[in-house]
Amino acid sequence: MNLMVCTGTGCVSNGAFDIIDTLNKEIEKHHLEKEIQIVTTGCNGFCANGPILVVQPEGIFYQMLTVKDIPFLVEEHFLKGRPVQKLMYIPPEEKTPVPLVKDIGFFGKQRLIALANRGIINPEKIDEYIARGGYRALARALTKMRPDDIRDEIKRSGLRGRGGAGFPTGTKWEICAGTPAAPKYIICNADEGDPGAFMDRSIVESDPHAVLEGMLIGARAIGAERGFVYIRAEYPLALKRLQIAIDQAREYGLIGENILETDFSFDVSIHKGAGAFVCGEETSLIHSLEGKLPRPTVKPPFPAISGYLGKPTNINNVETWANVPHIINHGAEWFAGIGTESSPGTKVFSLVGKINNTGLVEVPMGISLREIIYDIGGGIKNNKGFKAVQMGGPSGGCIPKEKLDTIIDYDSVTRTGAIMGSGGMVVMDEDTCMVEVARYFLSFTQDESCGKCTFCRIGTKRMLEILERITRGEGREGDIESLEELAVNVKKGSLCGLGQTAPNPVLTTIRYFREEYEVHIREKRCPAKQCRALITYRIIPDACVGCGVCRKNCPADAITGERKQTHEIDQSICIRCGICYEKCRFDAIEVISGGTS
Amino acid sequence: MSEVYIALNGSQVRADTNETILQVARRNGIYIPILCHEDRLEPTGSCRVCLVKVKGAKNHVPSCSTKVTEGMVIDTEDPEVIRARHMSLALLISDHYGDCVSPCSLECPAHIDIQGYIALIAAGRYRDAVALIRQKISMPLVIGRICPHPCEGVCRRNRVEEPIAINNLKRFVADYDIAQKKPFLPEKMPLNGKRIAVIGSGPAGLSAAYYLAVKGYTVTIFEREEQAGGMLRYGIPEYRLPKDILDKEIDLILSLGIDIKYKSEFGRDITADGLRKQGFDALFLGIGAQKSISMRIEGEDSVGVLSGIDFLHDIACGKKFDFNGKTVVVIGGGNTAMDTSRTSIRLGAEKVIVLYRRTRKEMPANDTEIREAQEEGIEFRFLSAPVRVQRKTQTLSAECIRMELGEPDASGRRRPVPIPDSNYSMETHYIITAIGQRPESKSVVGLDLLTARDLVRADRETGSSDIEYVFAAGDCVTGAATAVEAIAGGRRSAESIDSYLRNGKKPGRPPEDFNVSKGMLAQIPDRVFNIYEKAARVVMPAHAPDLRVKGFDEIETGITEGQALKEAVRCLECGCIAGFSCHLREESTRYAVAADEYSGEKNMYPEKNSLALDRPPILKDANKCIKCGICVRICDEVWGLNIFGFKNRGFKTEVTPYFDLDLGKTACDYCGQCADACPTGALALNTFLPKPGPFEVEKIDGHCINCSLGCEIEWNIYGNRLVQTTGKPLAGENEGNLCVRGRFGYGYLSRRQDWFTYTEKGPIPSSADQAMERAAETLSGQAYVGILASTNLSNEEYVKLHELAEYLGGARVFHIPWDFAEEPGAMFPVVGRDPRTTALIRMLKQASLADLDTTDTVVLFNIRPGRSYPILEMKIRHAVKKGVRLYIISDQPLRLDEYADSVFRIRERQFKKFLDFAGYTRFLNTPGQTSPAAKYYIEENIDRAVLLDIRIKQEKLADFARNSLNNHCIFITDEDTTRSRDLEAFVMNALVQKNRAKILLMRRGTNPQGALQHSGNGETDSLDADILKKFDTLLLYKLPAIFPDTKKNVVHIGFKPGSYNSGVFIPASSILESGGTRYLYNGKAQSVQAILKNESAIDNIKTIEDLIARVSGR
Repeated sequence: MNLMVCTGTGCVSNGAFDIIDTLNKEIEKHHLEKEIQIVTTGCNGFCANGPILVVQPEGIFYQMLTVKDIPFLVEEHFLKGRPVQKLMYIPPEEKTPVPLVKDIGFFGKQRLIALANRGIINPEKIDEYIARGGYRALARALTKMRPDDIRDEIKRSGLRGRGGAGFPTGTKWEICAGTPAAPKYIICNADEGDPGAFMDRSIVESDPHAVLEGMLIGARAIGAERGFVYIRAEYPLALKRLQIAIDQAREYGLIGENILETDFSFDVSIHKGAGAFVCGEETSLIHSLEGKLPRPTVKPPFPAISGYLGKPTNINNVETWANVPHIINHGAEWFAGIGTESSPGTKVFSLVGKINNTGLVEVPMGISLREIIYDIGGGIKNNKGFKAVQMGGPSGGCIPKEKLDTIIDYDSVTRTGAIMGSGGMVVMDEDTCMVEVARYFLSFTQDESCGKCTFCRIGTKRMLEILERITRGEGREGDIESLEELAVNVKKGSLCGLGQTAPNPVLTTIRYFREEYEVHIREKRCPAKQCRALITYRIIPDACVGCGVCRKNCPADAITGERKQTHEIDQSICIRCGICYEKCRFDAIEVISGGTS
Repeated sequence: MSEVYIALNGSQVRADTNETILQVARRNGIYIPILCHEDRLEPTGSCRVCLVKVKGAKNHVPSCSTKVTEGMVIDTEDPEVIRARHMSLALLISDHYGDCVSPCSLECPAHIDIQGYIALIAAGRYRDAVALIRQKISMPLVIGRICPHPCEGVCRRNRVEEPIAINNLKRFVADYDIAQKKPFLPEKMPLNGKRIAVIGSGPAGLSAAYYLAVKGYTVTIFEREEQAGGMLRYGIPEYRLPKDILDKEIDLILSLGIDIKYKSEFGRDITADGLRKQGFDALFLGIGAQKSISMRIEGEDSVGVLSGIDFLHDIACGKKFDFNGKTVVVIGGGNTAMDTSRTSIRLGAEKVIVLYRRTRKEMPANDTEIREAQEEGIEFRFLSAPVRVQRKTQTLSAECIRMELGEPDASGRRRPVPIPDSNYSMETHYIITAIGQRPESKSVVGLDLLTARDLVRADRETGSSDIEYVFAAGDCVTGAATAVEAIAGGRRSAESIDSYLRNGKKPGRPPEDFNVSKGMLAQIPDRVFNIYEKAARVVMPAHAPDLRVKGFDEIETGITEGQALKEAVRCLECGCIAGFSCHLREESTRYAVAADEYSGEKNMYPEKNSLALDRPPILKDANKCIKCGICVRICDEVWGLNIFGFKNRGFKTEVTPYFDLDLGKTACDYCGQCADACPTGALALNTFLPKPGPFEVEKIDGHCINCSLGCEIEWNIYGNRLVQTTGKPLAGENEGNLCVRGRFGYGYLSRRQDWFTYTEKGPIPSSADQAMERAAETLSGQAYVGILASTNLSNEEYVKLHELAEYLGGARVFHIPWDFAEEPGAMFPVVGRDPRTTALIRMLKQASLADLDTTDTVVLFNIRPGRSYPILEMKIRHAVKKGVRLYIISDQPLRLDEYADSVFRIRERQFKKFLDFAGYTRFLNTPGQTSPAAKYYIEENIDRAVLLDIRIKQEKLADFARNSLNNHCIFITDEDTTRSRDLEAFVMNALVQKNRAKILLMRRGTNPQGALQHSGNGETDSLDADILKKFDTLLLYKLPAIFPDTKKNVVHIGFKPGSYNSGVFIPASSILESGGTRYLYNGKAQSVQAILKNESAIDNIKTIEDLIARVSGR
């Protein structure tokens, strides 16, 4: 019996290692060492429900484990053979637990390629990767294929860059390979900067060798002998596992001189990035790698022609690299058969926000947003209504309810005004204020702007100020038009992708929720009751029992009232923090859309 | 690269794939704005004002950094990109905190460049100051006295303590200038044959006439009175504006060739039609508003009720009034009321009461006027108005009513409302009314130009009227206003008339220059002003009230030169130092950007370096930075230093020297490339004047004379003063760059040019003749005269100086580079060269800086280019970047070390040994050598070379020998600091490969090659106190005061007197003042043009000739 314990960052932060310690103790106590083996795996994906334990070979799924649960679990299940129902997953609005992984909706519609090994192997053991067919693609690429065969295979597979822009990977490789200068470099972009996105981290944590193997194959195809993984320093676990993987691969002769006794040599090293969003942009990343200020430079020349140290350089994102071995193993036709015609394959998304099943999912292209949110995500939390989903991180856009049947592929998503991006998906419910959403995302990109070009440095700042003004109830007639004009010019006038996409949340929220802006500006109301300056808290006299809890908790001393008498909020003092609303046990406090003034 | 065809704004254009869109556009005469681009730097594409439309591109394309491709379709004028450029500029402006133009100047009705003329006063440039003032107003003497100076109200110094005494300064320079033999008048353009009739010789008419005459028009003024001046003469009392001052001003204006016809009244003696028939091409109406407004009350026409205007007019005409012991009531609160009441008291009135229907606060008269009137004993009765006047036998009885203030009226002042039944009456001898003026409507009979209020209908900006050839300005258009407004209106009309007569059409209002402002006085944070030390405002000396009421003498007596200089220094220089050169401002004007299109947070940085005194050479104001990074890049890419960097991200991005240090604490070379290239006023070159201006300079191309490299330079001249030097990007071997000496080494040109006698108590001023006589006396009859001259002389000066040496019985001449003389020490290198070495050098080719671009290898020996020849260092660095090999032989670390392939650190005393050894090694690598050097190495040096005890790795030396042998190689050394034996060994090294090596021997000074030609064979490398002892008398020529402890008689011809016990100081002229020829470092002759006039008319050649004459006459 194998106990697959998820040790992705999410589960680890929820105490996965304590669970493992306790498991070990209990197994020892019951002398089950011979029968039971604990396997620490990479991210399982169902992060919302961690720590997670999957018992193989049956595939029984335990979730939200605590150290206290373990003795009982070991005794009941592993000793007595009675699976513990109360630790199993219960879908929302249902009562019966679902014991097996394969029956859980979250996993049901997923199709794993980049994450094929997640939860199955120990990412710190190269042997487990090899046992699952790892490095077979490399061997094939080195011994049975010429570099142009490899490029051709990737080209035919239709793989597009998973970093966001969706540029055809094969074509990119071909340009770089075709540039006469030497040496050539390849880079794995693991500088995942979108808040709330963790696709790349998860892939590196759960299957680092897949990334390395992809890079090795790419290096062969392009003619590079040196590679870098540019990864955020704030991903300690990914960093550690990647380093272990590199060390092990080197030990096995899979990295270094004359790999697999061929004339192919390749070395790879890790470069820790300090966490600047703009470093996700190719030219900035290269400058950072060179030790220079990470500011984008004009393209052309593209890195494929003149990149790192002025030499031809190919950059792909983690997920792109991780797809490569599978394409070589199964062939271009197999890959092209998955997903849609223009966007073959799968895409990994990090599903977060007001959704029941948050976590990491890999789905075939062509799946609809509705399927992801309702079938995989299990719908909106607390039975609220769906309002919008923000795709593509802070520089993506909000897709509204009417567009829920949009299918996932590069072109369909772009048509909505959002972008595929690297795969962030933030789900919002009806309580979300779309002006506030735009403000929030723009404040992120404004902060992360490198400050080089005028539109991005000052234009987004002025946009942000207008949004702030609107959420403060100081919006003016003409603000929406100003925002639109600024947004269009920031998009068209900025040097790099950061500026060119930063206005997306603003543009899409205006496009789909214009009336919400108008209500803010003209009626000084926030329909979602989120913008502090535009709401009023009021005590419902009939419901108030005069318990005094609100009064005691009010940080501004805005609530008065005798015991057992109806209380009252002094609106001139109230700071609209909402504490009273949260503390009241009698639902006697209501939020009214509209300011007091 | 390859040739392509592109479509540029609809036409097919040939281009090269190596070119950017910007380059192609420029080549085809299409203008695209740029801010972050600099021709010396790789494009960066950050400012986004150069965006263009490229067909098929999703986004706008930066033209500065996008190369053309075959078939590209470009539109540089697409409305979308024009809008994007506009927006980019507006966004930059929205984070721009400063003042393009000083608030005083903006507030001035005539927009005089106040900051500019104050800076000129501070520099002692009074004539230039008057010239600048006269650009905008034609009557500085008058305005300097009577202007209500709204400029001072907005002066930022109000927030420190008190405003600058702007008007007093104006009066000071105006008074100073008029006292000169030839007061300033602008140069007149040649007569263009067009004739203009000007009606009225008041401030508007005189002003229009002045500016028209300067532009070459033939002007005739028609004046109905007997004298010119209008209200200046007939409305302003003598004690404020003395008639003799007015006469001087008018005479000066008329001296431009303006004809004036007196007693010619428009509408009576002359008409518009008549003037047209007489052949006048245009007509200017400046008839003023001289008719008083009636009170419309009962008894107004009683005897004893006078009109203020008429009263003042009568006084001016010499009519006598006897007010002794009388009471005078003056009605009104304006300046005429003040003038009337104060005149009355001077006429002996016992009691003068000003009756005003509102309160002190609402009085339109100037504060000073009111205050002075009060001081003189005039009573004020506020909130009262007359309703009826009754004549009694001796007196008048005025019935008045009390008022209270109601709602504000159109002027913003609260309206007086009569209080019912508050009537009272007062007895008086005279009532003088001064409640307003209007033009005399009959004046414009025949012209349909009158408004309902009897004003002349004309555009206030341009002066143009509905009748094409008629223009008007001044009180007749605006109603009674200030003289400065009338003068400004007259000037603007003159400009319009000029434009109308030249282009045949009436001009519209000109586009306004873009201006950004820090805001109103109260809006500026305290910290902006906290940095200034408080300094009291100059007090205008004036007669005491009791004295001044006794007559009509001018009350204010004017400030002294000392006071003016002190006051001028107080100016905070609010206007941007880049006011005339800022690209951001220029483009914002071009794209009609408004300063407040986008409002929001501005980055506000502490204002460093904005103190009036103690200015560093490079001024920084981060508040004006647009983060284009030109400074960051130019310092790194061009100058090889890395002083500036970016700090923070996003909106908070800041450009700052490393560790936020002051520039002076960094490794900055002060080459000034950053400030020269800065597109705004964020980094600015300080000027050579006490205050930076800014001045609208004239740029003259020339060559730097501070060393013999002769870098191309732009002289920035303002009024015969070198204000600063700038470079022209990519021009000359220096590629538009300058070093610290080219940039800031010309401050000495703003010296005073006086003669002195040296005494034990210090230098005392002397006349030129006395000093010359004394010099001749000192030099004559001495056995040994030592002449120490710098290497900064023109060839002509060298010749003359050596001629003088002959006359002095073969005095020895030593040439010492100024740079060494400036540093304290007793040993100076002397220009000279061993004849043997000279012969050897002649066998080599002379290198020039341009050769560095084409050579393979450079050998530097005993030279510190970074310190002594920074442009040479820059060129070497650029060459290394292009792949040139660099070898350095030096006894000390150099900045270039990090660029070198090998550095040989050799102690100075072992230079020769090393060079011989290196030369020998090189010789061994060169079979079949027959050069003198080869012979030398065979016959003389082998043994010594082998014995060399320098620890140099053989392979390192071999690499050096090989590479400097097999390639095109340039040998460079500093001859000033290299001893002759080392120089010879170095030349030998070069000679081993005679066919290819070139040599570059650097020396300091403007013209060291000239010195070398005249110095004959060098007998000594250096000059020290021992040699000095041999001389009885010393002639120091264009050198600082070296050997200060000498007891000898010194004749010092130089730029700044020192402190010798006896002898004389004679001011020298610079080559920039007298011109001359010189030899550049590479032996090429160059003629230096005199770009400045020496203001004391000194010319060194004449000085020496004079000395020769005086010496030989003895």
